[in-house]
Amino acid sequence: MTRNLRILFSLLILLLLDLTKPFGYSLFTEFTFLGIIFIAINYPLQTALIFGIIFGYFKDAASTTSVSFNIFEFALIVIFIYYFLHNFRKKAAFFFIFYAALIIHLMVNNIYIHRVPYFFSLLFLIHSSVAFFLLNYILSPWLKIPQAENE
Amino acid sequence: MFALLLLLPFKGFIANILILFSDQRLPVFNQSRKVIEKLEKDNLLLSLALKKSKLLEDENNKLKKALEFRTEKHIDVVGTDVISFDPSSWRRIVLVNAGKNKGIRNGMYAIDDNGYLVGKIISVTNDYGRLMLIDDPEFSLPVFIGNDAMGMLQGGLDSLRILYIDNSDKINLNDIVWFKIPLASYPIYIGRVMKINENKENLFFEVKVRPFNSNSILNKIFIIK
Repeated sequence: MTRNLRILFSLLILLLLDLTKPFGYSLFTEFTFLGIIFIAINYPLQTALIFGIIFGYFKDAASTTSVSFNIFEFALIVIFIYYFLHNFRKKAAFFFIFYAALIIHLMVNNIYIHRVPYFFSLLFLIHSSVAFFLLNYILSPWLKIPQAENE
Repeated sequence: MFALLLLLPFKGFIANILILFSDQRLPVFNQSRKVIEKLEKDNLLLSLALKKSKLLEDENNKLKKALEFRTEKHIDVVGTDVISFDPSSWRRIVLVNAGKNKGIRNGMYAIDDNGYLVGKIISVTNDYGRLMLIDDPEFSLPVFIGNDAMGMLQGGLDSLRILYIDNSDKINLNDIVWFKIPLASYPIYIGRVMKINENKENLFFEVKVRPFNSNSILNKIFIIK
């Protein structure tokens, strides 16, 4: 129970960061999405799926656009990560999973805006990689995830 | 040198951290903030009036004659703050704390404290308004380029573009991109021509625009009524 509350609290803070964007449009990343990847990598499918759907819904609700695809995207990403982790447990697989999830997210959103902003996409990959590394560093002790589980 | 190269993609981010900290160090009290806001508003209106008079000087006789038949509209601005952003990085839509209660309506344009275009209002409730910024992929606006050309400004995450410019129009690098508020002669500046993509096989060509308003931390926005 405490674990789930901590996940909920962490994801709420990440959603708040996405909504307030304290660094404006200079940081090209989506913290909620990174949080969902983090939870999907470190927690069982059921937990990750529930949080994926809840925060996908929250993100859709906070979004100003009429198309609600985050709820489906987050759920599919969680299932995709579970499937790969089920088959591959090597350290390289984690990098592959993380970048595959980011590229899927880039593709879905680029299709949604009907354009491919190359420079923005590159910066999104770089910024998200660094943000995920920091997130992993900060959240792992808080959510009591043993480092061995990450490797 | 290598460390500097690594930091290059985070240039804007680091700049914003410095701005954020320098802002927080300044003790701003409510009363003085209101005075600052009023002065900013007055300054903005004066700068708009100045731009208007410069534009009127440059206009040719034919345009002046046409304008005589129109009723000149007087404009006012309402200062607002950004209270939240769209959570998606692919959309540039913000929520501002001014709505119908302050006379804000759909389609009104927003400028920054230097008078440069920031975006336009796309929906309003009683207390809040949604503002689409000029770099949103769905933003579009008919604009003037320099003195002669016209085109359709389209937002974008990488750069702003102007489409459908007639091939016969003369456009130079660094030409000013601007537009005029309907029924008022106030020119609102947007940016400068950065790159011209000419293709003689097409009827139209397009240009890339560097916007004047490059501050990604939007603190104060003025909506033109």
